[in-house]
Amino acid sequence: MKKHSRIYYVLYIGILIIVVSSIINITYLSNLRLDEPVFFKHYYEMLLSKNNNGIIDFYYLTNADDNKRIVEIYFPYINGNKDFIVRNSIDMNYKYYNVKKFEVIMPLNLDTYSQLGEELNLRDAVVYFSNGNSIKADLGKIIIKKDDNNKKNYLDNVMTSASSNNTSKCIFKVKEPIIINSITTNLLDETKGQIKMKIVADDSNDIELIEDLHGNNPEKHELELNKKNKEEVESIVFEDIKLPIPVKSMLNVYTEFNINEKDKQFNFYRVLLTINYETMNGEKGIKRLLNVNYNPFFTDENIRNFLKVRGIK
Amino acid sequence: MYKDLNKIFWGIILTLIDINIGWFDILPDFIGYLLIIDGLASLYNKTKQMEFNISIVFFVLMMSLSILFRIYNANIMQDFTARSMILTTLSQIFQILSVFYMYTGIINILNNFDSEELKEYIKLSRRNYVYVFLITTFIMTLSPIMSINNLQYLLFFIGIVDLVVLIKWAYNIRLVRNHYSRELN
Repeated sequence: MKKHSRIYYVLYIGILIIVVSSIINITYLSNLRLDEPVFFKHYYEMLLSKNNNGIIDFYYLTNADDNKRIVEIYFPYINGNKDFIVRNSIDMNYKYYNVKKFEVIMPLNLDTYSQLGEELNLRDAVVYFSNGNSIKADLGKIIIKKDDNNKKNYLDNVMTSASSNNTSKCIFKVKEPIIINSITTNLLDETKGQIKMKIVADDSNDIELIEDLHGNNPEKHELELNKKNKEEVESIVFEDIKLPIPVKSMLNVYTEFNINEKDKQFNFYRVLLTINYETMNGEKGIKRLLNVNYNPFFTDENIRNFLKVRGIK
Repeated sequence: MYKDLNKIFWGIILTLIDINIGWFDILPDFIGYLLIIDGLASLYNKTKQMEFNISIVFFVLMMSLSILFRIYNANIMQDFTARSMILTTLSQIFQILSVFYMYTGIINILNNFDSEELKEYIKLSRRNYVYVFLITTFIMTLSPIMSINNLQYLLFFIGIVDLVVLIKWAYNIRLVRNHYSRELN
């Protein structure tokens, strides 16, 4: 080698540093890679109504460069049923991973469902990918039941909303005074202490709202209104709500998820809270809240926390 | 030599310009690299400067990598995988070495001409090129441990700095080409 100027030494020492830094960082990247997709846990309660197929959304985590799609899903519990249609949906892209969504369309309606029993409870599934691989996935707990509420309805929806911050709100107009006796869900064990609820009966502002919408109704003025305002009522865990609650004209129900346990923060919830009530005549009825949902909020950092909590990385 | 340096100049321009019609790049980088390699081979034949040959080796490697980048659609700005990291780092190292040896070969042939001022200018450009590319490539290797928000801006900034240095490289080749044009006249 000729006698080289200083720039040669700078060049080769610089390249050596770059190579060493690359090796360290590529090793770090390789350690973050998933061996196989990781499925989140889903705790869903679903209703099958007449002539309506059930559509269930599931989520799983893959490496950022993983392009394979799910082509088929098989629930061993439903013997021989391979007719479920899989629809791959949107991907949420993060630095090292993608959170992928897929929907399963179940060709089940009340007629076909009746052959399967009163209540379907799905947990494990075998998922087939486009590259020919298949994995057994624990999807959580999916309860599918018949929408067999044929009772007379005394609660009319005025407004329902759900927000991406996992809160929901329902306003009902009561046809005649009722008493709320209980609030139930089939996912009580899975959601224990996690759903906060606020029930406000006969808020004066709501009465005015209805009067504005439907004209002045002198009968409403005769009602003894609950003087409590929405803001004064505190959200508490729904199992601790003091029941019964009488409702004369309007019912506000607010829900929010409050999940503190790290291992549950990355679960998906679709909870069918059922309000059981009876009228003054003793007639019983139910109202289901269809918007009590929880989707985890993902960031690069908390995805890695999730993998740590699961013991994968 | 004017013609050879002219080929190299236009080769560099072609590698810097991307014109896409839909998904199709009508000016793929390897066309630019082929022109540069052709120019360097002619320069080696005329001057027997070994640096031009070394430069050709690294340009061939870069050309191969540019094809791999297309196959794997690797982009360090979008996916932070080991494959993208390896391809990007190797590409940067080959780029530093190929341009460094091209500059060195040109400096050597300028020794044969009475062009001390131009030679010193090219030496300075080579030094700047090496420093800038070493620093930006080193920062790029740290991308897996950086937060994504800072990283997008940083990689964009690095891209701009590298582009400026590469435009300067094309400008310098043009300067030397014009110098030979004057010598011939």
